[in-house]
Amino acid sequence: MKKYFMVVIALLASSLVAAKTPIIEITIKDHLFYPSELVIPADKKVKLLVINADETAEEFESYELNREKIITGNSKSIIFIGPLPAGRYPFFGEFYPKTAQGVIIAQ
Amino acid sequence: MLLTAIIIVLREVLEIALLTSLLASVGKYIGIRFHHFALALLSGITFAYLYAKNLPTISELFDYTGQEWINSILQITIYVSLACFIILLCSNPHRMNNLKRLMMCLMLMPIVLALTREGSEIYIYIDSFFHGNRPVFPVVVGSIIGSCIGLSIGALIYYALISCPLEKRLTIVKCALAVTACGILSQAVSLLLQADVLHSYPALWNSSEYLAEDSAIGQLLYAILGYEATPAPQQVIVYVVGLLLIISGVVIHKYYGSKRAIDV
Repeated sequence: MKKYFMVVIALLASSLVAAKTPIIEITIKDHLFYPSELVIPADKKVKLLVINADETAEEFESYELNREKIITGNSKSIIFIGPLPAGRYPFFGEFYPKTAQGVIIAQ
Repeated sequence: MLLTAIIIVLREVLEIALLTSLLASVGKYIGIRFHHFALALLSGITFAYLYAKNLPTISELFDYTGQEWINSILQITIYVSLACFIILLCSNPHRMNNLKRLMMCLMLMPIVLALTREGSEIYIYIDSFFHGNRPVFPVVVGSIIGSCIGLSIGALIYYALISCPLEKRLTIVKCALAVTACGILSQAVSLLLQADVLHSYPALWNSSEYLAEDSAIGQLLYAILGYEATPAPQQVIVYVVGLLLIISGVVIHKYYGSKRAIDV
């Protein structure tokens, strides 16, 4: 029991430690993601810089990544993702899901 | 466009409707009247508007993680309010009478905060169409349909609950609010992971093959339990700890409540 307790404490404590992470840029323009396919290193955290070049807001969303964030019009924002095991992780713009689609490939 | 609007608005409205219907079903027991709820809803709508209008500024705070910070603070406050509400709901009717004001605050606070968060998303979504060159009509109609479906589900749950005997209703409401509160707390952790306040670890499991998060049941379970197909370890830990805290609070409150009654 004590061992499990220590593991939980260590997990939560190490959670508060931040580290330098690579930045990957993605742009929303005319309700499309550019690039729509992003390749990132597997098992490594990355900082996603989302630039919304449209006048209207968009919500970056991914069920596979557990991420959801509103990016207001003509603005930029940061979303941290990973570390991800190798695989494909689709994402989409919730406000324009038919056009705003993309995928993150961790390899 | 119509279907997208229905889904987006329904998702947001459903979360508020579920929470409000659960709380409203025990409102009479605590002595809270309709105008209190109306005031909470009105305040929530006002805060949602203010939050949405200031979102561009808020988003830029704390190195572009202001949105996650504010939303997680809102979520944690909702959890704390609900946890205290559930614990105090176990008080005997005499003591409940003395706690009326506090219970009113604990009950209405989550409604105001949930409406602030979810309502601001709806406002931003609809407002973006008024500033773009896309047709507005299907979005407005879809939003109305989505709202009506969400509110109807909420009303259905409310009337189903008030048709139950008081003891049974209180038990159902306490259990449902406890899992909802822990789901909300887990969402707060997810936001802190997104902002890199907490270090991310690989997901503890992946249940998307059995129950996809974007399916109708997945969405409903997300609103009720905070279901996620690929939860982070911290989300699961916080969910369990949050639930244990509520259970412990209820047990301690009942123990001291009965002891005080014996002493008196």
